[in-house]
Amino acid sequence: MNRRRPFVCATWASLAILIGSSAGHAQLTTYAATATRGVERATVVAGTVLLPAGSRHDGATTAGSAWLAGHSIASHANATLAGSGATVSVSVARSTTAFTLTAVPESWATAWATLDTLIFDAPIDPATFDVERRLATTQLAFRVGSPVTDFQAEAFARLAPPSDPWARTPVGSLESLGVITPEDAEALRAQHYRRGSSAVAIVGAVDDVSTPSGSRSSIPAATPAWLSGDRTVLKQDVTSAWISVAYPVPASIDRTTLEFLVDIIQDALDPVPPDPERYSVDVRIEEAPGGTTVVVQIAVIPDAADRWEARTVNAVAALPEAPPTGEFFDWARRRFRSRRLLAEGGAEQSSARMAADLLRDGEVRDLDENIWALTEAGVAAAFRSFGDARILRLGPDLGLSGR
Amino acid sequence: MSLRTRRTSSYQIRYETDRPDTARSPKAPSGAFSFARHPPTQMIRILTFTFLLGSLPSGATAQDASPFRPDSVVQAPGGPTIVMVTVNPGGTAALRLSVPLTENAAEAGAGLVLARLALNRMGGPARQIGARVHAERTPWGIAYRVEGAEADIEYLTYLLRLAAQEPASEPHVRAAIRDELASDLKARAEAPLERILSDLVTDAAPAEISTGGTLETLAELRAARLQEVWSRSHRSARMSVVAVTGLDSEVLLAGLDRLGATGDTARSLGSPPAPQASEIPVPAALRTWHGLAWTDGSKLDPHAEVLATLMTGHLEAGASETEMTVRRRQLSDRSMLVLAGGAYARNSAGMRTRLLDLLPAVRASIDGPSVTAARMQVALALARAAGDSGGLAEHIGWGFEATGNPFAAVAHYDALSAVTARSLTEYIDTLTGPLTASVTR
Repeated sequence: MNRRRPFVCATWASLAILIGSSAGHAQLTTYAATATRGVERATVVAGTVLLPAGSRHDGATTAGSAWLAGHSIASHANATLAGSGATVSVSVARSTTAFTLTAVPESWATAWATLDTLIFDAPIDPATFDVERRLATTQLAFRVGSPVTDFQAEAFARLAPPSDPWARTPVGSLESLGVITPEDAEALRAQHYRRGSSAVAIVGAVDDVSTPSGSRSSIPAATPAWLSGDRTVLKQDVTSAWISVAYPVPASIDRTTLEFLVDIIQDALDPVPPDPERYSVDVRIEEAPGGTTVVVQIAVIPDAADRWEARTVNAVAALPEAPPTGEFFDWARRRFRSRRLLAEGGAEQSSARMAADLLRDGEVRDLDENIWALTEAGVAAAFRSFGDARILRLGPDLGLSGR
Repeated sequence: MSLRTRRTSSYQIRYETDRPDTARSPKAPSGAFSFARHPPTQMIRILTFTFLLGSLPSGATAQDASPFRPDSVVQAPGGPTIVMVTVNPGGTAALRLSVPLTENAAEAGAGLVLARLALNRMGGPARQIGARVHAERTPWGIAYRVEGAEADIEYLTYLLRLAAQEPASEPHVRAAIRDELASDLKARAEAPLERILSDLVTDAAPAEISTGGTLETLAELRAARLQEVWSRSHRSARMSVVAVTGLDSEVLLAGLDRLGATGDTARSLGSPPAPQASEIPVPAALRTWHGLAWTDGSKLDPHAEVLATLMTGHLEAGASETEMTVRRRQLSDRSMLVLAGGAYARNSAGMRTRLLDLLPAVRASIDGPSVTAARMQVALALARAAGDSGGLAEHIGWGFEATGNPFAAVAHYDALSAVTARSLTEYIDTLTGPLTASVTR
């Protein structure tokens, strides 16, 4: 295949230099790990700062501190950058916080310097904090008592040891949001927001540069997240049923293989056209405190809950015995490649994934290469390594199996 | 099949002498190969094309460096115009095919039905390889877009051929699509804002045929009429394709030289009957909605986007019990800016006054910093929308489709950079309007 020369000319090249010199390399060297990827004809530059600090680092009585710290900083950054051609988004998870800056190339350098300062150096603005706390409280009050919220809380609790703070809802509770102060959020920021522990990935009109840490952010667990499965049925007088089936997987499975397994399970459970009994089928990877897990979450009409639980368990159980082979494997891998590459078509998605790779594995994956390297034998072995499932059901009591 | 070889300019080109004509059913490429790794020989074939605009010189100017600037524009004899945007955005590729279409009054909605039928044809095969497909009715025709892994480029071109294929006689599918579109029409007629937008478009451009059709025209869109519209519009030589990919044009052209109808397959059904006016039940009155509309004289003037951004900012800054919004609507020959709001009876007069006062207030407040901020906001939104291969193809293709100029997207971005407080004030002074519409729901 012939490829044309990279399309980088005067204006855009000079912007790349600008990124490299004024706002980029001087500060990039201070992060734990960095990677930049140049994209021809990039219309935007996106950079993600991923911090190993999330809601699990909240204090016992200040749940929601990480959430408010992250959202206050992002909101402050957006107010500062308004009208400059740049915008910041934030994602506060249980173990991590990710800030992603997206900017037109001519605004990038200044915007990046602004965001970097607000994350790592400037104190949290109390007025912005109050606005974000009110917003979080309002949104949480709307969700309290919802069966979906109850189900998610119970499902996450089953992925972690009892009372592990990881299982708490990242936004906190109405009680904790009522007592958290800007000082609490600032204390969390000061303790956990450090350049030296953060991973940074930038995608757009930049040169390809990578300074991987070469080490993982945490030592992979030697054993799976749990050794024996269980099953819990929670009864609520609601009009839908939710099912969570979670499998522990060993740390030895590489990320791309794991993502492929998730894709295969999703296809097996949710073909097109969709089953009219189901409202949603979601298969994802969850990094639980004890190790990596693959979680299948399904919402169905109550009458169908037994069928869908059995269908899920049986489908995953069948895959080690009859994994995709031959042309089936080729087509599955081809679909996965397209979906995966398209999902990363935007600079923001790409930088977020690269930063996650850096923080988790110490280096950035070459997705295309990794996907080509997937083999039938490797996939079959990975399916065989799934541990026993932890199953949770929540729904109305229809006299169905609550064994 | 016989092959000839001809040297044209510096390009040696091979082309087919007995290529099939009329409607064909494209054959799906094998699923077992990867083009990137194992280029199939059948792709490298059969081309003669004309470079309408050569590749960019290596010493391009700063202006040339726009990410929206095509590398080359080529056309195969009797085939589509192909705008090449050479790039390798993370191993993906996007192709956007646009088909010009003007409907007469009795055909209103035919383009939309053809687009939905195409989407139906493409959906299953696209899922086989995880590709994304789109089909939409634009003010100027029908646009089909496919996105996927660059290694699957042959399959992507197959999907595009499927999109442009003659619609099969599938009465059930056609009926389901017509029913769905009729339901959409009824729902929009009941939604006050949509009704106001529709009324204002009718006032601003009375000769423009509604691309969504009417209940009557949709009901009359039977197989023969759709076939006629398809064979009239889906002529290979009238189509254009924007290709965002790292592949060379020769490779791509091989997969794009058999789109739509060839030869003289257009058939006429004679003069269609004029459509009857539709009556859609009106719900009980709750609120009064007012709308004001201004039109400009250009299809792609970025001042419209900057002005809409400023107006939205003014609306957000002023707390109100009324619901007000700024919308832009693309007409076939210009764009329309709509300011609309709904209020209960006690606030209705105040809201109308506020709507009328907004544009003068915005005009009076225009200064350098506010225009720069709005311009950057528009630039960021545009850059993010064009941030992946599909978005880039869509943006360049939209501009090309609107103006016939493959460089329209570049000009648009450059013009956006040049918007100033003074030029925006002058733009406002040239607007035509306001047209007004009201509806009580």
